[in-house]
Amino acid sequence: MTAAGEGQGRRGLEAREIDSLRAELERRAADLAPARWNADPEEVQRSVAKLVLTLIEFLRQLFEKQAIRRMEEGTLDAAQTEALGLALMRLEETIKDLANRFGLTPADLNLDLGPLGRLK
Amino acid sequence: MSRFYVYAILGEAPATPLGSGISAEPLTLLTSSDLVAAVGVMDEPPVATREAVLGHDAVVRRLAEGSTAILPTRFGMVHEASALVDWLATAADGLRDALRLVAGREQMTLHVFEVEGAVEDAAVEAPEAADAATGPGARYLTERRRQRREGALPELAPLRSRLNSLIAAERIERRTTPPFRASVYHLVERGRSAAYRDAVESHRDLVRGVRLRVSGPWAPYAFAPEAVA
Amino acid sequence: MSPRRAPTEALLDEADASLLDLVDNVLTKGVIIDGEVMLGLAGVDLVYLRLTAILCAADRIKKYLG
Repeated sequence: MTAAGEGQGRRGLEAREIDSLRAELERRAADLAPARWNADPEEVQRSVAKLVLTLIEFLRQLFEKQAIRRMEEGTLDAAQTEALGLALMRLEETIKDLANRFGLTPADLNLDLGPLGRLK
Repeated sequence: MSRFYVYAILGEAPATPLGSGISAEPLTLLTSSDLVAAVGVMDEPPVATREAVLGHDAVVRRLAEGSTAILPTRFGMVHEASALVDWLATAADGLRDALRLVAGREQMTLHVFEVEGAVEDAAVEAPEAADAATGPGARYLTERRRQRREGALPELAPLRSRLNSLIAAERIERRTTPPFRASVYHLVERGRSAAYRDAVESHRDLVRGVRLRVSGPWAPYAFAPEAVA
Repeated sequence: MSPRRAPTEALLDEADASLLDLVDNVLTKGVIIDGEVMLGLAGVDLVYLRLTAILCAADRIKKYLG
């Protein structure tokens, strides 16, 4: 395997694009082990809400993934599929509402949980 | 008690010499049933310098040359031997699944950037036809399944269909800093990276509103076991 | 454990596009072994979480739980 060479123009990256890649990596690579989450003392409520909602969103995605898999494998009957679908739909709405109340966007509910991975 | 730095998890001992690691330490193999960890003795976690990160990837590439299935580790941590062995036993199922997926394959990365001033085409996908008997819950799950498959990057659909025969698996990472939209990681058969690049080059114009940058091949960093096996 | 932010920043500041790609792989992807999470408040680490178990789908674990 050989590393990719870089070109300019169509195949290369503009400065703006490189900067955005760098900014993304600064966010992600900032914490090596152990991953740290620390509530901002100025806004403890919002910080704690953010952590809680992020964890719930993580669970929602896990549940959704498992529900879809089970639906595809046929190990859920029609009643279970319907009940799970409704519950997940309501959970998604609830999370959005709560996030909104704390001035949080979907992008905010995104935490690097180390081995549990990033949510999005 | 010595600590170890892990470079990769393998399904078998590599056919080539192990060589040395990022601190010039000799590499050795640690086995736990059918899983092999390629490690170097290291007491302190390495600092993320340019040399160190390049060195980590260089070790991974060298190990990949000698083995069909490799899972590179993330840079930066050292572990007690006992913790490492315990972890290998606990994580075994997930690691085996992941090794099976990446066997004989390598990673190509596609970074997706939005073009300034591009008109956002309302990419309206018709929801899958719902059968009259299904309720709103079932329709919601079906729609969510469709969205997961599409990866919610509908602009890439025309390119994806041209790449399909080359791709064994895909992972998408959404980005939050404009114009950086997403990174798409594709698993391709080893030796097919040139064909992948050619396919992206020749079909680049099919993709509207975004600019693409290809990089690779890489060892399959993006295909580590998922959080839930 | 000393924070590694400064060298990472220096690394990223100097990085050209191909090194950034390498960093994307090596620092943000790859298998994480026996991870840890430190949770805290007001700059004080309070709760240490050691994650030695991988979450498992319920229908797959039931055969083990009997």
